[in-house]
Amino acid sequence: MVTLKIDGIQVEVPKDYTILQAAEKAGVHIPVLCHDARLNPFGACRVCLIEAVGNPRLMTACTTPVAPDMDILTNTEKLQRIRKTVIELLLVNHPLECPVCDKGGECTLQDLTYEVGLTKVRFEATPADTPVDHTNPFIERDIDRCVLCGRCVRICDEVVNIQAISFINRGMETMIGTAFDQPWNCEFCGQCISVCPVGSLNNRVYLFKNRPWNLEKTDSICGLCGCGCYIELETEGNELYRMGEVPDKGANHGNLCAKGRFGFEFVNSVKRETSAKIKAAGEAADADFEQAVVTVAEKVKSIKAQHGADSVAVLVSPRLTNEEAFLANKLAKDVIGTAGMYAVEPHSSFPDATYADIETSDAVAVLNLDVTEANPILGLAVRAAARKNEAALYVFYPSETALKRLVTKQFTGNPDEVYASMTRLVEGQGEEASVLEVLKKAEKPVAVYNPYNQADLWFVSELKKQIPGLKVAAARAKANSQGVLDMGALDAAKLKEGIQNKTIKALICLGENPSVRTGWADLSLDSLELLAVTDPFMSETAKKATVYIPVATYAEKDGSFTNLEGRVQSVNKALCKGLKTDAEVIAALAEKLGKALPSCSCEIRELIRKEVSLYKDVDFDGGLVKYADAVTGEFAKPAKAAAGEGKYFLYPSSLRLHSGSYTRWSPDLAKVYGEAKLEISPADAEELGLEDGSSVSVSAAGITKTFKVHVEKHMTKGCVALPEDYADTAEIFGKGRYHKVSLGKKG
Amino acid sequence: MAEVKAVVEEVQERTPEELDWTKCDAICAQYAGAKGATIPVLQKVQDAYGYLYKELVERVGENLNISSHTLYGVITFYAQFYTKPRGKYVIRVCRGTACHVKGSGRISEVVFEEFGIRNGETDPDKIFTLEEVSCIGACGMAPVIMVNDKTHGNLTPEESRKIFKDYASGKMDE
Ligand code: SF4
Ligand code: SF4
Ligand code: SF4
Ligand code: FES
Ligand code: FES
Repeated sequence: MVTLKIDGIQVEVPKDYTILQAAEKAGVHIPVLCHDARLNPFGACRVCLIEAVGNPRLMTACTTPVAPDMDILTNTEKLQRIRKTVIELLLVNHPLECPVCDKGGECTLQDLTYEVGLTKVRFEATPADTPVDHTNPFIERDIDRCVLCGRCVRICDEVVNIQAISFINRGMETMIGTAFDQPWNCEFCGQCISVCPVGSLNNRVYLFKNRPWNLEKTDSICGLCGCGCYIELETEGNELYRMGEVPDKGANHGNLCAKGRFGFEFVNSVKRETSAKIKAAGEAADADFEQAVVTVAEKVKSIKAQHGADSVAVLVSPRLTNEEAFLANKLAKDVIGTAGMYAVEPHSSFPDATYADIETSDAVAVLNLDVTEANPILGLAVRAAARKNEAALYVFYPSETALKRLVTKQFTGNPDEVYASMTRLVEGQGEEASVLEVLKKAEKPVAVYNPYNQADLWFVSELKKQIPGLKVAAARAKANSQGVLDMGALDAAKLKEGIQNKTIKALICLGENPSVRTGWADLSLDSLELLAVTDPFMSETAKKATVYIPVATYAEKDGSFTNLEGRVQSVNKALCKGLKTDAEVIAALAEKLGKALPSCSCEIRELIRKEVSLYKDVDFDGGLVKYADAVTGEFAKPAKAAAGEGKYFLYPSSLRLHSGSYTRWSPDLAKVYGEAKLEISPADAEELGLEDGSSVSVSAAGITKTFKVHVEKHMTKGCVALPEDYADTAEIFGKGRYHKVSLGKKG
Repeated sequence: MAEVKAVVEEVQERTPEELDWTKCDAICAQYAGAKGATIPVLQKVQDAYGYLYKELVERVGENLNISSHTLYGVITFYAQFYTKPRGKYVIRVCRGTACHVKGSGRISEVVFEEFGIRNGETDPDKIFTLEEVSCIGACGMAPVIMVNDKTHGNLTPEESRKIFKDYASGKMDE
């Protein structure tokens, strides 16, 4: 520890602190422009200059480390004068377009100009007039407004590790841009926008739609994947305008992904249903909420009377809040009298490694998962381990992944080869034996895996046995995939069986969309006497419903989600679209079935504390649930990954732009990635005479579907991939998540 | 990993030689795992391929695990790297003060009159590239030009025109 004085205030700080950090601790404000706490010190803007008594040289607070007994002055007359000049010089080239700049009101340059009391620029202003770049669907770029602080370039490199942009040229000509001025194509995470202190990089989804001071901010948790990012919903009235990051809260350090940041538009979508629908003689007609609930209740009562309680089933979506899932389970158990609710989520995996564990790990294995696509923020934790902590990183996956630049070694090949390689890993043979050694010797080894591949659990449990200190992270897909299990969801395989053999006659489907889920798409729901569906949208399953009730999204309700780390976090209602929440639907239905259930999330939370022992003492604002085991069950060593007779290995790919079927209602995401595309290697494409955008038929076990082609240079020859959660792809994956398929050129 | 592109990129026609990565990969392999390899690799690759075009830079990036954007940042920072094709002869016209006073601007004009190229440009036949540079340290012979490694001083515009024509006709190669 080092003791020093900042403006006369004595502070004691760790010796690797910068003067800026020490000042923060002392409660002294030093203005900054190029500094960002998430990034390495840079020292480009000179706004943070300070004086040390007895040292004639001025220093940048953001880069200078503290030294014992320093006596720092941050606001002398000399410093004020210099700071004013620094800002004045920035304004020479900066176009003063504040009234029409989207950053107005939250611009650091505006604020600094005000702070230093600058009212007139003495030099002749010479801003350039470069056309604004609108080619990117998410990021608007106005290079004339750039102050060259480098925050965008640095975050894209240091945190995101994509390096999509760079400082181009030198001297007066320096600007932020891409290689050969090509279009800006990247992960579209928008981290660069979030750190830009001026209006040079702007959020196009929000562009010109509102002014920041009109927006009300509600802290919440992103509802789009299992990462559980802390997020700020910015609303005016009942419109959602923007997703904001909160760097100092949550496990994601303010980082978001493309869909979390830009994909919220489905909340405001005019395509959302507003009225319940009841189907009679095959025709769906509008009904009011009361009518819809009564219809469901009456049907449930009569089916139950005729066939018994077990003929009625409740299926919940992993997007329901813990409170809603808890209530749904009560509905299934206490009100209807069944064994409990179901969820389409694997039951053998539990949270173990946290992001902090991963970020500080010294050896990471990624098993059969494209982690930066599937769970982008989990992916950032892996990147941080490799990048900041210089962890050894091993990736086992059929194609190259975006982690390629950071890996110690990647093991690619067709799925059978990847499985063989993972087998050698756990058995300590061949080249992979050395990887096992590294993991064994590591201080904090971590493995990240895909819990949706049942076969992969053998590798995980074997590794756990061999490396007692190994922590594992299951990449759960949906916002509350873990929470619905904690609230008691049963394995949905039983439900599927019941529907197939027609013992289940009524299905209350809360938010789930089985028609696009792998293993469910080909299941006929026609034999059901009642299919009651809640969903914010007229989903593929909702279209088949006897009774459909439109419901609120995560932006419109209170509750909590449990993320893939096992972290419970509060979801807060930011707006209201006049729709019921699933909790309200459940409570209304219970009432009609003769039992009162609470619908208010605080009341339910109290019940959860009483009845769910895992959650007895957990803090609902970021606390971690403690699970006994990371994996449970006995697993067989998988033989061959892929069944089927075709020539090409098909496997499910992950899409960072989409999560399930919700985000497809967001026009900006859908514009960039709409319908499912088949990824294929350039060599295979050439052989089949296919190019980007041509149509191809994919046949597996008697079914054939047609897709558009995306030629992808990272694909392994002989392999093709399709995304999950599409009706057509779900049917094919129903034949096996890994399958050998035949391809045929169409048209 | 699907590289989902939101904006379509233009594809430029390249010859098979330009897309033959044997030399590039071999150069990169020499520096595999070495720190600070970026600049020497770019120098050697430029020597081997003439100039640093998009596909080539991307290939180097794949090999060195650096994005082409970051590499481009380095390339555009240093004057020694070229992202446009270069002529067989690089004419450097000194535009330093002494040469300027002695009329080196006229020599640039001669180059434009004869070959239609301005500073930084290369003629379609890739014979000449014009580069205007600052003082090359031979002020005593102002105005001075360099053609590749050869220095020509005390030039009148008409003398320079003759020299250029000699280069163009191959006379200077002997
Ligand atoms: S959106 Fe993300 S990946 Fe793209 S340039 Fe910005 S920070 Fe980099
Ligand atoms: S675009 Fe913004 S963040 Fe990037 S260097 Fe310019 S001002 Fe800084
Ligand atoms: S990583 Fe997941 S939780 Fe985070 S912003 Fe993206 S979709 Fe939302
Ligand atoms: S904030 Fe310290 S130099 Fe920019
Ligand atoms: S000015 Fe031309 S050589 Fe010095």
